[in-house]
Amino acid sequence: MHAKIAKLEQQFCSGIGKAENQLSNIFNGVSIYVNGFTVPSADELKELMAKHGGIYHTYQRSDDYIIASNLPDTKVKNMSLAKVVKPEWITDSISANRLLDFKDYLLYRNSRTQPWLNFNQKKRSDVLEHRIHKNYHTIDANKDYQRKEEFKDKESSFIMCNENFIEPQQQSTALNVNDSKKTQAVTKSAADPNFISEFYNNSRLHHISQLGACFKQYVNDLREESNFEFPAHDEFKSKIFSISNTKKNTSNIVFQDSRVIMHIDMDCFFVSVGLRNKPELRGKPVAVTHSKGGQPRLKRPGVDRETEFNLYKQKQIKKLSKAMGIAEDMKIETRIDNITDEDDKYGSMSEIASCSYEARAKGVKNGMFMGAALKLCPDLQTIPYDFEGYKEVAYTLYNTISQYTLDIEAVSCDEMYVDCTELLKTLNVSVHDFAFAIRDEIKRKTGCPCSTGFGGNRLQARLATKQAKPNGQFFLTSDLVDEFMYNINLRELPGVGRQISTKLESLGHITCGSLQILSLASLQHHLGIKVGAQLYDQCRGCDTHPLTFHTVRKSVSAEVNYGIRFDNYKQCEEFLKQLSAEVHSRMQQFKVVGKCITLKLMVRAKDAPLETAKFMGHGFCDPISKSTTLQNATNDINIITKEVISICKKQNIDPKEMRGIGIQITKLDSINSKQVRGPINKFFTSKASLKTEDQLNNTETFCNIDQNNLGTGDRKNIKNPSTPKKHNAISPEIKSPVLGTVKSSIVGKRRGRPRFVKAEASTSQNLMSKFLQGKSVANEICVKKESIKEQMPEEALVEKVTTPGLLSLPWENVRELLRAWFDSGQSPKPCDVELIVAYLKGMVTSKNIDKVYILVNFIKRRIHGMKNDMWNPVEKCVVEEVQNAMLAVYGKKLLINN
Amino acid sequence: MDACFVDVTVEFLAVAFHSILYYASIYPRVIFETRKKYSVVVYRCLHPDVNLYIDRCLKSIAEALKTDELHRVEFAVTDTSFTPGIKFVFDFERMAAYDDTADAYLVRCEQNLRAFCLLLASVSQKFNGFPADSSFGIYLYTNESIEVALASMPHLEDFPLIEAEEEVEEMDNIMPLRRFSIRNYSIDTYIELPKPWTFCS
Repeated sequence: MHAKIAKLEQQFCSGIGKAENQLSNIFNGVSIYVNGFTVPSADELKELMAKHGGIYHTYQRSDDYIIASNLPDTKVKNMSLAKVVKPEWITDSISANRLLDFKDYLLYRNSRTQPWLNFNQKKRSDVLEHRIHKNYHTIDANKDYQRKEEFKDKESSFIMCNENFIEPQQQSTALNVNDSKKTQAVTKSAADPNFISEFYNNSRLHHISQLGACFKQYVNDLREESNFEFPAHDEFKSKIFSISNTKKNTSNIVFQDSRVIMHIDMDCFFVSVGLRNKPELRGKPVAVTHSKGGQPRLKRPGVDRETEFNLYKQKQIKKLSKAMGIAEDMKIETRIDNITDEDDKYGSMSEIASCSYEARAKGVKNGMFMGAALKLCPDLQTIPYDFEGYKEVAYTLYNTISQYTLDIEAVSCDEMYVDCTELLKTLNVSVHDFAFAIRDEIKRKTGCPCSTGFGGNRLQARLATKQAKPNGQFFLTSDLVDEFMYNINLRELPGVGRQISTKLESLGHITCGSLQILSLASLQHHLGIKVGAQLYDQCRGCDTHPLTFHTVRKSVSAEVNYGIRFDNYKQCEEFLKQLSAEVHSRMQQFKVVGKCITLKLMVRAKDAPLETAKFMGHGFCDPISKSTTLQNATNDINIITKEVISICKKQNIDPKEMRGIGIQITKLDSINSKQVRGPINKFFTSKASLKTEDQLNNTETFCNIDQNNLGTGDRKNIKNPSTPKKHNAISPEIKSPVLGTVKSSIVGKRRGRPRFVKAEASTSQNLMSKFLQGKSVANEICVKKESIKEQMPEEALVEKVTTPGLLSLPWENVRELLRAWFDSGQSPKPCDVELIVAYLKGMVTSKNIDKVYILVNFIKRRIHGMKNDMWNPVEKCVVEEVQNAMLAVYGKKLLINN
Repeated sequence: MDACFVDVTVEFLAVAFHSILYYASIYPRVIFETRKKYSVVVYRCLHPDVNLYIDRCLKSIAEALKTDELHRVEFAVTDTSFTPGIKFVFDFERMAAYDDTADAYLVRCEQNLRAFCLLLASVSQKFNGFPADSSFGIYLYTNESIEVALASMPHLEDFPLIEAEEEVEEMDNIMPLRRFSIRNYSIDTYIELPKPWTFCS
């Protein structure tokens, strides 16, 4: 089959060459696949494509545009409709003599009654964009071309991402193609089989967290493979000297604890990456969001924003007032204030991921809803997400820093801490020059501004960065710290959120300075021991946490809280299966197995409106989280799916009410890859590496360009920071990427996996000691029992001790006790009689009347034998009570000898 | 239902019935032969009609026990009009908690059964004053569905259960014999005596 397809394609290509009547190059890079009957027919389209530089596939390839006039319903359901285009696209493009935007010709644009989300990733900016590219990467086109040719030979697949480097003369068209590749997606609900992949392609939170986790892993890998020699040092040093010759900075900069911690943060990362291609928007208020802004939508039935917002607010107020311990009648400002209804101009509930400083000046903030932002700043320009761009810039940033040092703690894709202490010593340059040089280099390589802050610890560095923004640097030296901290707002401290800050404000503290008055004890009293101690340090500019260069993954999870709308349980189960598969693939990616499976569900709260305020959002929900722990750690997809479905079934929730589903695996253990290196495993890993190959090339190209840009770069000397192996490990896939939390643990500079080893050792020790302990406990018990038995005869003489022992004794011994009681010669006490009666009654209830019979007759005989009037009432009482019990249980009296 | 329990119980009831017949002197003692059971001497009736009745009763009891619906078996010594004068009661009660391995070889069980036989002999002195024309009957306490089920079984077809008449005289006193367990059932044995009962001793 493959051979056939290949042959057909070859025929087509050779056909073009023979014909030599190629009219234009409109469809360069466009491949089509014709599905079903079309006008013009498939054959005609084939010819047209050949004439205009396009490719026609007889069998469908994944990146083909599907040309169709109509499709059967099953096909519509099962394929991504993003690329199903009407044949008019081809004919109109030819008549216009340029490639038209295929989005205008989508066949199934309105097939679903739901409105669109505007997922278009890039607008066409044609030549301008290219110019920027060219400026930043002065490419040695020939060299690169050769490199690409090599790659082509290896893979024999077309590398779209590098297209503009291959054919410099046709960049504008190539870019066009690139752009139109980024497709606009029809909004799907989770019941759709393609939902998950579509969701992860468009979820911004997913991309951000994935990138963050990705870079933590990247730093881990770099550290593991590096020999900690940095050949780029010399070059960098000479560069610094060339810069700093003119303005020799003699001021001695000294940081606290004689450490130098640098914090690098890109300035409004998403915006500046987006603006690289849109210089015309520079200087204007710009926001990155999914929404286009200001376009009212049809109001959906069932939406009741007011009710839902009130619910949110109440919840928030409840939380806050609980934290502060005051009444719940307070008023708070939230971001959902002033959001109007959907059909209003300012009703958009699309979140702003990042906004430019011009927009911030007008009061727009990150995380604000688009509607509210538009009110503040009506001329706010929106640009779409460019996830590829973020990745590219982030890699460049990390590669730049890792050339010089690997003492890096990755925070997110655009933010990191770097311990520069050693680096500055070896370079023997001043911090000032270093900061200037590194910022310059980053700006030059990425085209995005960044800010750096320096301090004696991570807190200081971070606060310094805030001071440095935008596009600046700040040195929080030891002599500045006290004064600087004094004016820092408490809200700016990491770890201080709304709850803590409101509480502190109610105590009358807004800045760190005023908080310094409080003693450690009183802070801990108000906020709890841990938070109190942390704040006590923080408001003085101290931070005891060292940088962690090696991060250990604690959990793997996948969670979808958008678009979850099921009609029946079957769809829900199907979705759980898919999500389990997603988690499974992530676990394989990180080479871990896990023990604890948690299913997180978000279920519509009872009083929440049926339709959510945000389109397809989760609305106001009750979160449910249930987990099971397995016997053995696993990453078996079947086990995970089975467990998850069984948990879900147990909850017995109406699938229509579900709004969010997440699966999390914790208690992880890494797989020893050598042990489980079966053929299936190999298949998976090789597949993953294939997928990532083009990504790899992309980043690698950038590295090379970077080094070229340095000008003085001697390529052979520079150790290429990205070898294929590393890339396999980080695997920056688009479709099944990383989501979930990576919590760092302090391991220090040591590599490997010391934590697990430790844990194992300790548990085994525990088990052993437990076993030993258990044995000794058992021994003790035995000893006690024996001693009791030994003591009994002696104690039997004392009534008070004898009678309580009745029930615990075997019944034969009771007679001994009774005999001792009768022989004691004392007058009978009511409490003792009561005890005996209770014991006998218990025997009757448990139907042990044969024993009761013996005992009662025994008592009767003994008391008769004593001939003591004091004991007669005892006999009477006992017999009466026993007969009562007998009547209750058997309906008959016990036969008692006279 | 433990098959072992049914076997042991039916065997035990057979021994008990014959022994009661012997000790209560309902029939002349010459029609009994001695046998060895539970390592002690027991007596067994030789009269074919008596044995037939007892065997058929035991068959019904076995079937009823299998269905887990038999609560009680009574062996009543009656006068000529079949009015019970004294009853030997065997109560069956299922135990909720039961350790399968506790008495795996039934050693303790056998001891208990032996004890019952000896106990019966020891108390027999107290009820040998029955009139010469006394008779006996065996009562099963169960539900109607079991009755119907038993009647429809081919090997029990000709021996259906007959519903007992309303008890004329309510028994008044209980003389416990022994409580013991066979597998997961506990059996409570006692003698019900009518009110004006006086021992002949």
